[in-house]
Amino acid sequence: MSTAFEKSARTRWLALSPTYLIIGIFMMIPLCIMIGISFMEQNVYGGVHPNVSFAAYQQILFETDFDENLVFDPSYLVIIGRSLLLAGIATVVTVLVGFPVAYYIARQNERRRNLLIFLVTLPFWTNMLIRIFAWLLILGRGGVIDAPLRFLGVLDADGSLGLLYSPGAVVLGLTYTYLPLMVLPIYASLEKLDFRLVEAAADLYSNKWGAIRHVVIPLTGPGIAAGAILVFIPCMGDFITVDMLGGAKNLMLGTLVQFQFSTARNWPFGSAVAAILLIFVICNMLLYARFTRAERQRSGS
Amino acid sequence: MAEIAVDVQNIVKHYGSFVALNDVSLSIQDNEFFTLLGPSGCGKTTLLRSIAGFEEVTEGKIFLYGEEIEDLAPHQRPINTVFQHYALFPHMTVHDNIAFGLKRLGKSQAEIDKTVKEMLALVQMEDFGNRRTNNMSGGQMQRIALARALAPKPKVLLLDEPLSALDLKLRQAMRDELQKLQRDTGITFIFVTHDQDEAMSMSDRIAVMSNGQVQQVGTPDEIYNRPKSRFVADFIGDTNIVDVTIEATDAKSTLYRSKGGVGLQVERATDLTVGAEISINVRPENVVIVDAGKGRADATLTHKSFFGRTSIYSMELNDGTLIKSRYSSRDELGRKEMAIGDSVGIDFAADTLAELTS
Repeated sequence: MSTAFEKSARTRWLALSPTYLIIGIFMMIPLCIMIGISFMEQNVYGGVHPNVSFAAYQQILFETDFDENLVFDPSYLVIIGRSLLLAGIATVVTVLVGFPVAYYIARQNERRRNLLIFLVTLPFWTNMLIRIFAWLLILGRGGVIDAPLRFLGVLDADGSLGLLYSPGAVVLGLTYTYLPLMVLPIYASLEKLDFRLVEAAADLYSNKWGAIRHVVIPLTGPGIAAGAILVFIPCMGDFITVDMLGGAKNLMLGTLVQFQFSTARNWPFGSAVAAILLIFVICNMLLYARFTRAERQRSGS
Repeated sequence: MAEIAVDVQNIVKHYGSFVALNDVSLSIQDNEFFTLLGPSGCGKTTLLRSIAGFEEVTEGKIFLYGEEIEDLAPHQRPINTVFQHYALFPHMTVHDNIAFGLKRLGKSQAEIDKTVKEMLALVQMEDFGNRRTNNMSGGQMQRIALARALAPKPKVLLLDEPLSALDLKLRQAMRDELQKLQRDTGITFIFVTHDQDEAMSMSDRIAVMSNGQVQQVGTPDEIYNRPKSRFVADFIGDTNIVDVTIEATDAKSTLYRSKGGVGLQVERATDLTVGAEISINVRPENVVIVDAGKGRADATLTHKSFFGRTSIYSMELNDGTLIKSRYSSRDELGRKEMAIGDSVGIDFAADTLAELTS
C-alpha cells in the first residue's frame, strides 16, 4: 500500500518535471541573476562590474553629494509611495466598477452570461499599446474631450483641460487595463453564489443594499480578494500605461526600472528597484494566502 | 367569523405567454394552518412567492390583515419564509442566522439575544447557537430555518415544501412538530406541498390547485370525502370514479346510470337536474362487498391484492367498469374466502358518494 503510494508520488513528480524545469530555468534563474546584479557595481556603458556592492540599495534612500557624503534623498521613496497609492486607488476603483458589472452578468441567463463574459475579455484581443494610444487621443491636448469644449467656447481655441500626463490619467489607464482581471474572479465567485440566499435576506427585512452588504459581499470575499491581488500587482509593475498616460512627472516603480535599464544604464539600481517590487508582491501574496486560510477556517470545511 | 389574515383577490401571473396563476382568489384566516396542495407546476409555489413578494403579480390584489401589499418589496412585508432548501447563511453562526431579521429590523442587542434564545429553545436546538450551519443534518438545518423565520414574529409564515428534502421518518416527526409550532405561536402558516399525506395530516384547511387555478378549498375531511371535481377526487388518495347520467331524482333518492347501462339507486337527493352528465366518486374503503343480488349493483371479482394491513379487491361491473374495494385486515377476520371470478354485489353508504361536476 505504502509502496504503491510512494510509486504514485514518484510518477507525479516525474509528470510535473517539465513544469518545474520551465519554472526553474525561465523564472528562478533569471530572478537569481536579477538579485545578483542588484548587489554589483554599475558599469556606465551598460552591464556591470562583478564586484560586491550595496550601492544600488543605498541609492534608493541616499544621494552622494560632491563631498562624497551620503545625504538622505526621498525622491525614490516618493516614487514607491506614488506607486502604492496609484495602484491602490486603481484597485479600489476596479472593485467599485467591477463588482456591479460582475453582479449584473451573474444575474443574466446562461447564454447572455457567456456572451457578456466574452465581451469583458474582448479588449485583451487587441494590442495594449493601441488601446492606451486611444486614451491618448481621448485625453490629450485638443483630443476627443477637449475638442467639443473648445467648440462650445468652454475652453479657449487652443485651451485644454490638461487631463493627460496626470495621476488621474494613470489611474484611469490602470483601471481600464486591468478591469477584466477584477471582473472575472468576482464573477466566478458570484456564479457559485446561491441567489436564494439573497431572497432569504430580502425576506428577512434587508433591502437590496443590505442583502449585498450582509450576504453577497461576505460570500464573494475570496473572489474580490483574488481580483484585488490580480489588479494590484500588475498595477505596481506597469510601465506602458504609466509611461504613456503619466508622462515624465508621474514615474512609478515599473517605469523607474525600465528607465534604469534603457536610458540610465544603471543595471544594479534597476535590479534593486525590481527586487523591492518583488518584495511588495510577495507580501501581497502572503496576505492573500492568510486571508483565504482564515476564510476557509471560518467556513469550517 | 375569524379575521382574515391573507386575502388573495383575482391574482393572475404570466411568464411570457405561460399562465402560472389564472384568476386565483383565496381567503386565509388568522391563526390557520393553511396548505396549498397540488402537483408540480400547478402554481402553488408561484402563489406562495407572490404572497412573499418574490414574484410580481400581473393582475389582482393581495391583502395582509386588510392592508394591500402586492406592490411592496419582500423586505417591506411582515411575512417570513421557510425555504425549500433552507437557504441558511453559510458565513454565519446559527445565532447570527436567527438574529439576521431582528438586526435588520433594528432591535436592541438585548432583545435580539433574548429572542434568539427563545427561538433556539422553541426548536430544541439550545446548544447550537455558536455552531456553523454547514455540517448539520437536514433536520437540524430545517429547525434553524424555522427559528430564523419565526424570530421576527411575522404575521404570516410561509413554508415552501420544507419537508421534501428530509427522509421519511424525520418528515413524519417534523409534521407533528410543525403542527405544534403553529398552535404554540398562533402565527398563520401557509404551507406548500405536493404530498397529500402531509397536507391531510397537518392542515386546518387545504386549497387543492391545478393548472394555475384553485380547484377546491376545504378541511381535509371535506377535500377527501366531498371532492367537487374529478381532479380533486383523483389527486387525493385512491378512488373509484364512474361517469354517469342522472336518470331520475326525487326528494329522497337519485338514480344514476353509467355509460354502459348499469343503474345505481342512491337514497339521497341531488341539486342537479335529470339528464346531467357527471361523475360519481366513492372511496374504496367505503365500498362493501356483499352477496350477489344484495347490493346496489352486481360485479365479478377480478383481482385481489394483499398489502398486510389492508387488502384491495378489484371488481368489474356488468358494463366493464372497474371498482376497487379496500378492507382492513381486521374487518376481514371471519369473512368468508372469495375467489377470482366469484359473483358478488357491491354496496356503499349513501352519504359516502360524492358528485363530481367537473
